[in-house]
Amino acid sequence: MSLSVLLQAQDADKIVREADRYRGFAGSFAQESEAIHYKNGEKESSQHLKVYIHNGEKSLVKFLGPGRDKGRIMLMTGNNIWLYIPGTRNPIRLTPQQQLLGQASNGDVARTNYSEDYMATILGKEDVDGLLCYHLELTAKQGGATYQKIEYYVALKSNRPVKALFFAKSGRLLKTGFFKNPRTFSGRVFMSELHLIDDLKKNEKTIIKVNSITREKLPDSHFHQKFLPRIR
Amino acid sequence: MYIRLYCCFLFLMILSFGNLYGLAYDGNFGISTAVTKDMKNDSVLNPDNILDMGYPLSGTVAGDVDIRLLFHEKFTVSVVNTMLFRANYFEEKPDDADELEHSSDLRQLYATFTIGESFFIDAGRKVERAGSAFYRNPSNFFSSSDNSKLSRSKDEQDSNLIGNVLVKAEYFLGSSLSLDAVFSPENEFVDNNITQMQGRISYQFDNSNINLLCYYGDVWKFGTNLSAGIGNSVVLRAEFGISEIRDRYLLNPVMLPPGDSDDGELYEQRKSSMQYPWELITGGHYTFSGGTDLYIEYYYNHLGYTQNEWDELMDTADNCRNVSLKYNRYSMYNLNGAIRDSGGITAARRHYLFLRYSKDNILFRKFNLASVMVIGFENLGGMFTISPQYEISGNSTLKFDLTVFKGTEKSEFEIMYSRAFAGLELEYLF
Repeated sequence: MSLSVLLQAQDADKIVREADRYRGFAGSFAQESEAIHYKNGEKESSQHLKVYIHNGEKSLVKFLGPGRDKGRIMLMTGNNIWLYIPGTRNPIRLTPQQQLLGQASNGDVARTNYSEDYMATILGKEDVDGLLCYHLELTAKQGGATYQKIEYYVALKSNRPVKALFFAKSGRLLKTGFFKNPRTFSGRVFMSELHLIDDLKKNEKTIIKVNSITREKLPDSHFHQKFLPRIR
Repeated sequence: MYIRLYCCFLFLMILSFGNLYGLAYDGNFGISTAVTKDMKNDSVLNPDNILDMGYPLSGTVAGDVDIRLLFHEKFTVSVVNTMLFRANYFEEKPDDADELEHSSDLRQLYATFTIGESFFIDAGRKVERAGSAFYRNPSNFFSSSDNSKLSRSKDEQDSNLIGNVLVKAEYFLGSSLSLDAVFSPENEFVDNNITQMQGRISYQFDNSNINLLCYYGDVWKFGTNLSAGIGNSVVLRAEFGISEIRDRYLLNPVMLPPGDSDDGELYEQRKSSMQYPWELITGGHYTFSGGTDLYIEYYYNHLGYTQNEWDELMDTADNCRNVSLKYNRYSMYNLNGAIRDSGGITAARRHYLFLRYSKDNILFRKFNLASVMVIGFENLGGMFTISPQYEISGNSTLKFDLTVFKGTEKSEFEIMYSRAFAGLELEYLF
């Protein structure tokens, strides 16, 4: 690898790390959010979630509502995804692609750290809605990443995320995401909304809306699949 | 039953006064109503069929309570109770059938003490489970009783299991390793028929996990189960259980004395034992890019499934979320009992393939479909269930279910079941 390519890769990784700061704290934290599904502009359904990120690499999602989902707990550790449904025998292992959150992938909610999951390269600079942005290509570091590839647009001046195109392994565009509504939580500015538009069903949209972000850390033991029935 | 009702009532009272005493609680409450229709009358199709339950039409109201009361940061009490009322309409009422039935089962009631952040002690009536396979778990050795003659569906729930009175200690070492030990003493008063003990080690790797179990009850048993994720779309599961010894029943032809009026052969039930019978399950789960999930699991039981195992196997096909299969379980329960008592055919009940298909938002949004198929390879036959559902709101769901049993002439599915059910259920979860 030549020196200039190496430097460019370092720059790209740095930009992604900076952009990650707008999506969550480094290390461990908790965020309460809502995944709202719209069709033809009308709200169809919503899910109320509490997400615990552990050391930037593991996550636990508690479903707080509606009644159908209440009490469910999803654990994501690397490529492992477990779901516990109250009253069932054991937590069950899911495929990462299995959908629990409408159009949003599990990783859209449970992962906020692209710099951990993807290798970044700078493709150039582009204007997005009047804002000059870095155009980056993120490639999955391992099979368990939510997407095989992301085309990521990060504002040149502030390093805040603006837009992302999410691709499947086949190269097909799955959905487009827009990072919106910067809000201050726990003394820092975060992008509080991710608008996801399915490439095939353009009249449908899912908004992941963050209502709070706090510095909270659960014990390590909570991230073992056998622990899930003990969590309420 | 009344004691269980009183216990349930007592906890609901505690719940009601929770705010007064600063008691915290969380949990789920569910209620459902269902109408099921036996679409095929066995007595017409097969006059000798012992499964003529004579329930052409039933209406059911069922309620579930599953709550946890937090008395202190380190002390909680969990309670799970199911109540069910059913009214049956008979075109031709069998003598032993009831027009009105009801049941209430306090399935679990146990206290949990937490020591530090990683050590837990559970004491009380609790369902103890193990396994990674989807339909049946050969490494699930701890036997929980199944007293419920009435049952109803609830999504992927062990709604019939009544816990054992036990003490369980569980320790988590970080996020990778956990150890647990369970002890359940023999006690007639609490319906523990035998003393049971179990130890388990559970380890979680990056993309896989493994459990090792050692059990002692009526006999020694050892088991393991594991699962692994491959890429974004595949999950593999495998499970194995081996027992020191197990009894089974065989039919022995008996010579008739000269002049006996019985024409034909006479069989006598003979108990025999098998050393080290084992069971293996392998399978997986694939998620297609459109959101469709397909589960396939192959089951091999060296000895042949016993009545209870088969009953449980069929029961867990309830993962399809169907209404009528649970209703049908009762028939199976009786049937298998009758077969066992008449000599047993368990040796033939070895190879099965389970398939489950599910897709959300099929055709239009909020309309989901799940389907389960069970195929028996010895004397080809199977069960097919299809269950479309409509999400009325975030709390309520309307479910339809159709279950059909069909097989070749000698297949258990044809001889024993050969019937079809349909059901409609409205579920509301608070």
